[in-house]
Amino acid sequence: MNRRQFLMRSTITATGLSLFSRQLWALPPGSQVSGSRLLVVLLRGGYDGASLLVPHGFPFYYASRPNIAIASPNPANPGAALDIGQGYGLHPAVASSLYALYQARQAVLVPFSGSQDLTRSHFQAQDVMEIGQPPRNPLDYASGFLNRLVGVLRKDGQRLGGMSFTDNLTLAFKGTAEIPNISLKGQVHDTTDDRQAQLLATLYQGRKLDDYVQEGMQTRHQVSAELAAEMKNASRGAALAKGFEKEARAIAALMRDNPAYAIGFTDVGGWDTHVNQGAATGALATNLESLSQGLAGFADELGPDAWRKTVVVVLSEFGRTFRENGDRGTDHGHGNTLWVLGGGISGGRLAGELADVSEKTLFQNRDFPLLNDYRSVLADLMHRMYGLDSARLSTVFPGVSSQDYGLV
Amino acid sequence: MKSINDFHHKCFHWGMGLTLMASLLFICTTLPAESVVHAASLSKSDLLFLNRVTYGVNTATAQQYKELGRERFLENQLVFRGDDGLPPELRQRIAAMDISRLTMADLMAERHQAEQQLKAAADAESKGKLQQAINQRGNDLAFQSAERRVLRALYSGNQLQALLTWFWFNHFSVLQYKGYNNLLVADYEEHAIRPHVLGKFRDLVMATLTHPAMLVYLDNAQNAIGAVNENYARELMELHTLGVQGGYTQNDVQELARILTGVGVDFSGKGCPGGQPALDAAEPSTIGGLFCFNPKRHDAGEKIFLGQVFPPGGGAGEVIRAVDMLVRNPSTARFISGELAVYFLGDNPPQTVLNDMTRTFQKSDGDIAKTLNTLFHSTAFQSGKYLGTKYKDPVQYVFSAVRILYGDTPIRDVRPVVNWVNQLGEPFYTHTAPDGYGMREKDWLSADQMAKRFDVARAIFWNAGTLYTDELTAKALENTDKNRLQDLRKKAREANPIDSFGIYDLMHPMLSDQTLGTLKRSLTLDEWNSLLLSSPEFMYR
Repeated sequence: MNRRQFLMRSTITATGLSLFSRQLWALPPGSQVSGSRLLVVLLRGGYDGASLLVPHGFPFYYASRPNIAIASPNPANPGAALDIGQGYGLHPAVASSLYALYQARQAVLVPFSGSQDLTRSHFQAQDVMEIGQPPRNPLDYASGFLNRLVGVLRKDGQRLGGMSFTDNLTLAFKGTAEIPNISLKGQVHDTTDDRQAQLLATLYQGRKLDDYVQEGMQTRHQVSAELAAEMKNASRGAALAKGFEKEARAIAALMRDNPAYAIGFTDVGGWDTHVNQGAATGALATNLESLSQGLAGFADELGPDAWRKTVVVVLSEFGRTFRENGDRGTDHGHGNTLWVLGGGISGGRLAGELADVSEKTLFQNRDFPLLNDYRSVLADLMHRMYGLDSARLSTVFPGVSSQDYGLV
Repeated sequence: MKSINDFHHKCFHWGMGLTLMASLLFICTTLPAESVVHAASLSKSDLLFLNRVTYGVNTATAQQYKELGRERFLENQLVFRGDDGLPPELRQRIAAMDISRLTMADLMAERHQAEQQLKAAADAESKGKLQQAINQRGNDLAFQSAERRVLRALYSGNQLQALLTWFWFNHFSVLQYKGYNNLLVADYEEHAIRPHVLGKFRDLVMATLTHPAMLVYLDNAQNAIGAVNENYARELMELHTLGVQGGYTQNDVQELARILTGVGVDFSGKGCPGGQPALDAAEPSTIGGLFCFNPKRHDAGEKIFLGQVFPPGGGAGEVIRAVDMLVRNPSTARFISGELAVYFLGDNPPQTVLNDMTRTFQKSDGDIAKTLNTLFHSTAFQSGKYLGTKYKDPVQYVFSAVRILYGDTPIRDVRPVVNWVNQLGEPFYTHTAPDGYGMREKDWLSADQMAKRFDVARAIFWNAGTLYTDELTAKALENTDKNRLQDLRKKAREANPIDSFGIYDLMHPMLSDQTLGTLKRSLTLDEWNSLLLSSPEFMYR
């Protein structure tokens, strides 16, 4: 059976007319896209995509992973992969979350995806991914792709803002457009009274850190007020979410109503599974469950209307070696599986170019090959979400090749 | 006496904004008189220099500097002196900690015993309790290490050594939450890192390579023939020695991983199985019997590493040879010089300084003190134009604030200090990835960071009572008698007034008119102190 499947490629024309008809949500040209939301989630550490999107239909998978493979689909086995066809299945830990979204056609997975970086260094590869330019030496740290996206949209008169939901402003959001950051991993309190705020403002007025100070104090003030109001409305007797789900729900509560947070970024660590990564259960399964449940919680918190105009993209700096190593873990690899979630996407399928899963197709005889540049997936999405033409897209992702992933 | 006049001038201005004359009098009259003695004797350039080579100037450091002058002060700082510069009271406090009294072997034996009990436990409830006790013990031991680090950083006269202990730990970063590392990080810092922070770079590499905390963290404990794990091999080149652009390939990573097979640990307590408890008799061993090179797990086949042939049949000697190649590689000299220059000079150090440092590093066989000496005597450093321009990382921010506010009276409870550092995003021993924390402005400066620093600035001032109430007493009362604890803390706060004259002396030459003008609008001493710690000048070193 020939599992190789090439998707039709199409070129984004200068006018973009042929594709505008398939825009994610119909917009007359020049109108505000303020209903759109984009959340990018970066899994730091290089997650093992072969455990999430399990190639159970390929004997080479079981030959390569004698101890850490997920069993092939079997309704009698709660630890078996959940079949989604084409020889693939999902990890059982995401049954009630990602798998449910996939069944509801609100999730697309893009295997053989990632960046061109070949250093296999976490830090270099994460930087390359956040910068969003083809890897080169030295890297150009002047701006990240999300910052350039906000810049392009603002230039077009769109009143959309970005928010880095991280302790520090993430590299993807660095650049000329001013983007605030706030971590929702813990509690957000605003303890500065008006008098203090005024004195602090005077202290920094017109000085180098002035923008940071104003933005920091305003953001905290606003976010803590919005979250407090949210908490009052939304308890509804439900058990309080923990960990990533709690954070993801707080992000959703902010992104839902305020276009200032329409483009968000957050990250989740703990994916560097060199040793004892586990299979149906274990460290990786726990992480996948928490991530996937968190994102399902994000969708739930937004509510159906907002979720229809929202897209979540899950990225990781690289994939892991296809074969397990000597310690029931996996080492740094190359291609990986990217997630696209959204209430309005054309989901329930795999997208992008697919390859056979065999020794022959491995990159450097160790890793998944890269067939679908993550930049082209994001560019395709941005084209559809914001109607960006090729000139604007090449500002966000210089040199990106256009590709139609059929995400609508 | 200029500063005193300025200060009175400030009191006068406070008065302008005050309706309550009584509290004005309180503010101006409770300022300690002895601060007049050390008033106004350090220049802006001296203060900026001190803030760069210490965790922030305090009265004791200023005194030390005045006695020695810049050159001798620096000379002193460039020598490793252990705890010589620490008040005896603190040396005793550190000596009494479990991490000082017990070796890693002791702690592992204790843990094994606890695990046996856990296995034998009859029911789920007692299992849960035993597990909780095991976790608590681990966290306590790692916390002791943090406490020791904080006390030395705040009160040791050997400030550069304290900064470098952070720097090199961060360079060879390990995570307390991996495997048994909760029990091992204290020893790692004390024996693998600290004795070498001003010594030879090769010793740092060898000491970390043979320490169980590193071998556990980067999985080399599991690296064996037929079960190769390349995690440590990669980071040893990328992060510890050559740097990511240092000129190695994926193949070199795989070959170094093979060279490192068999380099592991012995947690059994029964002795290194069929192996040797040190790499080589000539290599200093600092690892308390837990290191183990097992020839049976070593891949003795031929390797080609960085273009050099390692013939078949090699053993532990291959590891030593590979380390020697790495530490003598010009990429390492450049990479390490660059890291030091970023921490001590600026985010973009000039090429000439880097070249000079690299040359010193190579000529001195990786001597860290000499390399730093080249940096501190470079034209760029001496010109002063880099001083006062480096955005503090959270650890530097919190430590410098406590040092300037509370001087050299040792705090009795370090928990608030550790919490502030956590709040600002740079917790001890818990950086998940092996790259350590960033050292540049771009790694720390953000809107949220500034807002959080203003909160912490207020908290540092308000928590005098907590800082100066004994930690054990406080812990005991936290669950039993909160009123009494509050009372104790109130008394502790009153007994440890903040010397605002002294603080003003150590800050005012660096303050801009705008900052001075804003300070004059404060209505209370609390406000004045928290504004000072919130000022732009205090964000930089």
